[in-house]
Amino acid sequence: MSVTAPESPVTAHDLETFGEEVLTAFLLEQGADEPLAQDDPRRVLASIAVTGGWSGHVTLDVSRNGADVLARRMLLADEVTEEDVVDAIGELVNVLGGNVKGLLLEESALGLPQVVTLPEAGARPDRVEVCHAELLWAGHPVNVRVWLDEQDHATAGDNS
Amino acid sequence: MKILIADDSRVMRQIVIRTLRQAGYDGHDLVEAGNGAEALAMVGSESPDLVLSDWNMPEMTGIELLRALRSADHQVPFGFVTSEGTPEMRELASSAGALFLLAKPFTPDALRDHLEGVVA
Repeated sequence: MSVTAPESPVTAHDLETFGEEVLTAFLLEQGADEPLAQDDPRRVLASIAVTGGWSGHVTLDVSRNGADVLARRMLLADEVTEEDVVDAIGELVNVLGGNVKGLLLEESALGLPQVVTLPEAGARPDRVEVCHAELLWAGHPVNVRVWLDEQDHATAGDNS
Repeated sequence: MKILIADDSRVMRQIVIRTLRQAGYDGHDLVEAGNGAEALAMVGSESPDLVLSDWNMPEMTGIELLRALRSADHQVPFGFVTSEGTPEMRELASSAGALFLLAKPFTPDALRDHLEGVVA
């Protein structure tokens, strides 16, 4: 499911397009899809800030099992460490964030990725979601969201 | 030929190395740096023939690295491999002395197109 708020500088279709490019370039489509681990509720959440004329965040969240699979695909490794998983998911949100930033008309800067593992799906942040796409990488659902920071939200009016 | 790859992501450094091989650049000596400051030191110690650098890194960004090199009159060929490929970034990169800016995600063909004429 993909959703875009009205007047968003970025659309769900944009996120899906970026997702396809990442899928191909980073070999995430290589190999058979791996089964979802239904008994592991942990999620890996990555976030990167875009600041400037338009300020917001791009986030990516995927199951812990899915994050492991993606890291293994990116490294072409049979096993990966926790550090590798954090690195890989951070790099994925970095690439998505950079591409989102490229769509903005206003001058802006990209932050460094932040990655955390949550015991389960977390509460939604107190921000305005401007678009959302659910991608499918290596058989695992990956939720990518673009959020508008509160300051810009107050300036732009309520688009939710 | 020796190529220095600077990126704070080990995963991305491995992807760059893999893509270089897929693009036909096997047989070159590849060295890695985890941030701009480390890369600056390694340009001095390793004398690479080409630097491929991320833009956004802790300690020292890629653009700070390039400016430091050029300020020291170091003319090593330099290219950016970064998630940010806006016209403004490309202009900034070019003005600072970079030969190219390759945006992530990139394919072996795109990498080869950018390295043609730079790497034998």
